[in-house]
Amino acid sequence: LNTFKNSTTKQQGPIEIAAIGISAVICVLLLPTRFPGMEVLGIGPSWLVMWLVVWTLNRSFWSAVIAAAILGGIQDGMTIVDVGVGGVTLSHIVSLVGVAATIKFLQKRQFVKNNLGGAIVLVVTMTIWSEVISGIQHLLDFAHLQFPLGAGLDLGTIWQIQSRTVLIAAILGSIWMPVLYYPLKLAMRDRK
Amino acid sequence: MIPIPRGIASLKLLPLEVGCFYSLSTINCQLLTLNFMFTLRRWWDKNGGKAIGSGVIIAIAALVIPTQSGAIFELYHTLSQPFNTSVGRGDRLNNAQIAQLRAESEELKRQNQQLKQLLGDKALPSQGILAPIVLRSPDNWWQQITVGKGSKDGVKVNDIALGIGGLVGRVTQVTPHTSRILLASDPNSRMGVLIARSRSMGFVRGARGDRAILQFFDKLPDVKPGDTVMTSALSQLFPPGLPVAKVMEVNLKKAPAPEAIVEFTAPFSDLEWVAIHPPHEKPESLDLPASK
Repeated sequence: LNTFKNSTTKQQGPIEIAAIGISAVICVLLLPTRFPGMEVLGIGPSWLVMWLVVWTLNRSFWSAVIAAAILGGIQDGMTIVDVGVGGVTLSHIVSLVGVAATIKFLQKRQFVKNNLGGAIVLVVTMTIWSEVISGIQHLLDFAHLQFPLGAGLDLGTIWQIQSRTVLIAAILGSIWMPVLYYPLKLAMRDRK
Repeated sequence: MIPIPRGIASLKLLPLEVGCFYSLSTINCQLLTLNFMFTLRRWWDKNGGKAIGSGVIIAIAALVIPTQSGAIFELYHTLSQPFNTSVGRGDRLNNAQIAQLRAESEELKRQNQQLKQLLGDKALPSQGILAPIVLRSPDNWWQQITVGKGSKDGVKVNDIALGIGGLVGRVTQVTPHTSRILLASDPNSRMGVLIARSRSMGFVRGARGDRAILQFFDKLPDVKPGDTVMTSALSQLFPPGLPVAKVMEVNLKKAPAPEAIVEFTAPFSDLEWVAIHPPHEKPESLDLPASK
């Protein structure tokens, strides 16, 4: 992750590069935590989606996609358990790259602006969008690995469980976005 | 309407006579009053709304301050009611513990009956490694916890984790100082179970919440709501006889096999400690501290 940051942000000073790198690491560290004020009913915000929104708004398409893939890989490493036959294969790389590409598309069409308001709207919509992509992956898994062999859940069950989770994550993300947005924006301001 | 210039004009037209000073000063006074009222009117048109607003706010503050802001705390309490999830947490843990003890005693009675016919129990009781839960799942799809004990403390992959209320999950990854546990509520976690009362067998699959799905092997299992679910002797991953869940609903007409909705006896989201045991060793007891 750090070598990637160094290679793409050559024009920035060491403090900015450090700020970007450290902020990404902090977001990864915050993922499994449930600090008071950062969680509701045991659900926390999607820190990586939040980080990715700021990064994508300030960077080119390919930088965004590569960063999304790297962060997705890290999150995959933190979550995926090999349970043998019937395990759900659900990669965060797909959902985060999907998020990055969608933001770039929306920015190109000038649907979103690079300010705090735009970032907050993006965090809410993109948290939901990333979970929808995960849900689609899950349903594809369910289609070819039927119960009792597969661990997949059908659409009704997923909707029942995930809709509440996703909404809480989206709202919490929008609440914590300013904390992440301003320092990161400061560190990324020079390049477009 | 602009009264001031007209007033000044009339002042100029006044003849200078005896008593003019008196009349002049009267007019002057009137003029000043007019002028003042005019200014006041203009100020009111501009700032009247604000003034009323501030007045109301000051009045409310004056009413609230003597009560030591009691109304604000009451309002906060009312507004925070829907988000207040910690209410009754101690009760939940206590209830879970009671349910666990009941399940354990039920199992012990049954085991006792069986042991009377046998020579002895070969499974060795183990104390287990007490580990604090330090981290939760890093996304919304997997149900995992990370505990603060790792390979340096003797934890190994496939060890089982127990908490207040019963079975919690299975260790899937170990680092020197932490280990990751796949909770029983994860859809990827499937375990062989039986109904403690009737010995009907099946397996439980997590559904990402407090509740899970139990699918039976028999076509007509003997099960009713309230029954205790335990790990079965056929389970490859878990030792037999551990309390897992309680039956909530039964659906015997479900298509591939009869199903039951069960609720885990261990409140996963409220736990702070787990005991880690090697697989295939019968744990001695589940005496865990309720909190740090």
